[in-house]
Amino acid sequence: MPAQYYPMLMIIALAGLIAASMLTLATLMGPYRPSKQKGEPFECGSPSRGSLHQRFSVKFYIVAILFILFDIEIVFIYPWAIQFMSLGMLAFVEMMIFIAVLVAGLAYVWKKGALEWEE
Amino acid sequence: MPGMFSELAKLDNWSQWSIAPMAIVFAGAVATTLIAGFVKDSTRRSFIGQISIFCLAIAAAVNYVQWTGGWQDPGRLVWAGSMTLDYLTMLMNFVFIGCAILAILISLNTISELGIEYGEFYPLILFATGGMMCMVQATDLLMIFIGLEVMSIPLYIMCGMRRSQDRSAESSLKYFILGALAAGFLLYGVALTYGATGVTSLHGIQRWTMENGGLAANPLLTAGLALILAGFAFKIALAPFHMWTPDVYEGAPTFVTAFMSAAVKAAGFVTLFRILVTGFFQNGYTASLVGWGEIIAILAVLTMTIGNFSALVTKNVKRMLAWSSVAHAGYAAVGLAAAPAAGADGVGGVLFYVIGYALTSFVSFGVVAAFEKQNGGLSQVEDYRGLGYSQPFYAFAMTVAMFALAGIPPTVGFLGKWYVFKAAVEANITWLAVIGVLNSLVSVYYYLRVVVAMYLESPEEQAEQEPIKSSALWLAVLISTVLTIGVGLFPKKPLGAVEKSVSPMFVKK
Amino acid sequence: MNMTWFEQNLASIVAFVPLLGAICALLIPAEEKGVSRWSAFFFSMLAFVMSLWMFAAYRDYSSSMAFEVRKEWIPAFGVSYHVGVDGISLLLVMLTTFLTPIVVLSTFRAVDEKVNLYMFCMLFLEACMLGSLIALDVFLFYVFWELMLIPMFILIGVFGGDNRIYATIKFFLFTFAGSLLMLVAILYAYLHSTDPLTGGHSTSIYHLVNLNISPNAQMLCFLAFSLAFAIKVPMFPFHTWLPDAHVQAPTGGSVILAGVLLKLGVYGFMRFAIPMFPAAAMKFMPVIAALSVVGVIYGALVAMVQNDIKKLVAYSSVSHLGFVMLGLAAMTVTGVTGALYQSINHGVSTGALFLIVGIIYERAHTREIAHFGGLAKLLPFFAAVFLVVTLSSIALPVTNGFIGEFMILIGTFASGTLKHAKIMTALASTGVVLGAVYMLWMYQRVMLGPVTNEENRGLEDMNLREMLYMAPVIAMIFIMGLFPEPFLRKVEPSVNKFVNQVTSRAKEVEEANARWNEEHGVKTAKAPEDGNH
Repeated sequence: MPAQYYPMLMIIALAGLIAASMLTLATLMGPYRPSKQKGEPFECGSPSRGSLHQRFSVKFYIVAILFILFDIEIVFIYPWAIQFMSLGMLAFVEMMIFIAVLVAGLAYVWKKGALEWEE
Repeated sequence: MPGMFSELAKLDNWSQWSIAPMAIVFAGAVATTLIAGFVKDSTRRSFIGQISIFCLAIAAAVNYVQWTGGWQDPGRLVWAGSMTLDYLTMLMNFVFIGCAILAILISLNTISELGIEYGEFYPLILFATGGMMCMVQATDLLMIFIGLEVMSIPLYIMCGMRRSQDRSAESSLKYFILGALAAGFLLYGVALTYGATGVTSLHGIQRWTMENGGLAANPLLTAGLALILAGFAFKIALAPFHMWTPDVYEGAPTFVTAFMSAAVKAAGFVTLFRILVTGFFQNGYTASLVGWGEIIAILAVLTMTIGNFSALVTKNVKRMLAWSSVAHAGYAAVGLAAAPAAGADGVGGVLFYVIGYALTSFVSFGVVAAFEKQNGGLSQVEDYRGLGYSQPFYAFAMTVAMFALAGIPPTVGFLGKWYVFKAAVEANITWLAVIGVLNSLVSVYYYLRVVVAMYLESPEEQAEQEPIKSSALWLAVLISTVLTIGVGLFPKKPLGAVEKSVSPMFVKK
Repeated sequence: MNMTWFEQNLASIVAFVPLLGAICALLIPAEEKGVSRWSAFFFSMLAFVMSLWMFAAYRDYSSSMAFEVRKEWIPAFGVSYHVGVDGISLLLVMLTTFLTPIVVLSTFRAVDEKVNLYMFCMLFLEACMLGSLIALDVFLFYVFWELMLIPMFILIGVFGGDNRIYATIKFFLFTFAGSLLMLVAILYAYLHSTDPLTGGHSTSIYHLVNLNISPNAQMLCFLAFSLAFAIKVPMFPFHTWLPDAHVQAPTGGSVILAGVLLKLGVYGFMRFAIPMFPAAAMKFMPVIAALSVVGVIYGALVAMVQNDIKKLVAYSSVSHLGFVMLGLAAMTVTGVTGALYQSINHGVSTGALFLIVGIIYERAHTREIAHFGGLAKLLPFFAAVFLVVTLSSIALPVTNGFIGEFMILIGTFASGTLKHAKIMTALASTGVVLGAVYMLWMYQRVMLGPVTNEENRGLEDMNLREMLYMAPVIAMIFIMGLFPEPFLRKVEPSVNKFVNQVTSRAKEVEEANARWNEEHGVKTAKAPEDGNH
């Protein structure tokens, strides 16, 4: 049984090898000339200011979560759309139920004000 | 799995009918979510609770129709082999619905006492209930995982609903992080199992192991089983995966704690034995070097002992009950450990035990909930002094619960112990039964302490011992108390139902 | 409801009347003390009347189970509601129903708070005791046996003395610990039984006496059962809970505890432990006998040095129960009958002693022997009653105690199965002498001589109510001492059957064990242990 996993093992080994060799080669052969400007977080000319650890508004998270939530649904809808004809009525009804649940969720989120940026 | 979609298209009407109770619960959950979003008026919040109870009642009615003959050929596979509707599922549906109704009844008036101002509690509990129903109905590891997650995520939220309390936040976060870890274990176990066998359905795994020389022949499958076991051991709080239990149970609002210790534990145990018995039993057990029976026996000993000795030194009643809940998982696991040899008796013992424990847990946590307030309330054992005379009803209920948990007849707790220990003796692991009864002896001390405080001691200064005024809470405690004694006295029908549920699992095909 | 139905179910009715009374007691509001008291008295008297009926209806010279009822209860576990009464349980049932109304009457003044709770516990306790006496199904027996702990726990814990919580928890844990191992043994026995009707397992005693299990398992199971019952009796090394419980318990609790509860241990041996595992039982009999003899002497010696009357009586119980167990261990008809008879006697006379201690405690609020002296002059009625009870306790002829102890000693002396029976009889006889010493010495110090403590001059003599409830006890002491025949003829046939069955079955099992050992290649079992403990 393990025999069928040998190609997998080889790919993993190969990937490791390539990554390791690139890093090693770059360290060994690349030129190394550090300077103050290069040590800055951004090399855009103006000096950086303020703390690195900044608080973001929690609204960003909510938007990100909602985006992922509704975006992921495409994964389910897309294959269904491609196979629409062969799947028939049952799958159609099921997808409608699925979308109805999504809509309910959207309505809830909307009503709760999660989509509003300004209070 | 290219065939999956075309198979789905060929579904008969049976498939839809088989998940009717679960679908009703989920529909109710979506509906109440919307209502909770649109109702701002806090006085009408209990209205959402009433709707939830109504939905659950309909689901129970449909389930009853299925139980009494509305479902032919129990045990047949539906939804392309990923689900089934057998008597076990139907019985557990009753249990979950019952637990949800009791939890809602307890919460109706206490929820605002705890400073929880969200109507979303009710849809969450419905989602969790639906998730449990999905979990025990599933016969496919992936479906089980989906059910488990649908059950768990609402619970993470519910634990943290007392936002003003640090403990509640701690409870939620701890449960979430460790729960996610356990889910990871479980999923990894499922992946390994799939890697070994090429299937995720329990019957498929069983077929594969029978054709390929059993569990021991395949280290990958053994590792998969071990990880699945670890994932579930976390959910049902078997030592050494129990560390989260006291903190989470103590911090969560009490009605959530009651629901967790009753329903989640039951769901976890039932799903675990379904996986073990259906997926990894016949050839799997005999052929493997170390059977899962032995592993669970060791876990059971650890769990009972750790749970009881920790409860012994705990002074906070809710935390003590949380530790005792760990211990009770250990007793139930005794039945599971006996299952390879005792068959239906072992699994039946587990089933009866967790159902009995669910009832008792609602009594004990219901009483705790009655005296839990935003500021103050009763929390330590000493606070319960003299309760027997100031609040006779709740004190009596608590006494019944304590004696039931200690396993004194004629309560459901005694019958449960009788059942699992019987299975252990039957399976020739009498030593496990002996450790079990010795543990009962330890446990009786801390249960008695509560009774002693309530009846034998009097408070130094007359403390405030007013319960939260709530007829729903009163009703919930009354129902579960009556059932705790009633099932203990007249267990013929419940035992019949349990036997009917588990015996088909052991029929050789 | 016709007469036959009534008579058929008489055993259950006797047990459930007090239960009904207990439920009534719960429903009566706490303020209605008088109603609580009289209703409890009514129900306990009703139970007594029913049991009198039962006594009359139980045929003389019969050894069979009477009033037997068997109804399906938990078919999944082979458990049935199976009750019945034979000569062995009949007198114990009578004792229970006889003592309870007396106790209820005795607490009319002593208990003035939470009267309804007290009466509930008393009646509930009575129901549980009766239930375990009539149960012929070991599961049913276990249910009552465990349930019994709860009312006793409350009686000691709520109505007891200063150190009551410690005493009651100790009592509960000791007895609970014993019964837990018994539970495993019950399970083991149950799983090796067969009900010929259903083919499944059964917990009925009829099916449990024909077990077919390995010699080792017989030993372990018998030990597990014995531990439960020996703690209850209590036999010598397991007796430490008893003095604590007695000293802290209220008078009524003590009377029931000494009067009936302890006898249930003896009864458990006779009904379950010995018939179920006869071969193992016969093997352990010398050990039991030896421990009993130690108990007799040790209890008497410790009783002698007590300062507290109640503690003295408590240790005298250890001593007396040693006699009872000795008679049982002898396994002769006379010995076992004597043991049973002495159980009843002990219930009556020690119950009476505790009542007397209660009477004096109610007046003087102390039980220190040194506090009293010369009370006979002040309380003549009390002195007379006390004297009769004391004489009964030391087994003077014409009192009940004489018959019991005499039968035990003869029975043990003549025992063919017990090793060193004669030495043990001789040793136990010293217990009789010691018993006379500590009881009479106590009586002398409390009642006779000059009045030593001026405080005691104000004590009242017994009032009408107290005389009323002491009268039947005094009457019983003489009736049982002068006319034992009506009682013995109900008891003896059953005991005869018990002894014959056990001895013959023990031989059978012994042979089966030998075969088993041969088959399993075990070398011949070591010689049975001597009583060298």
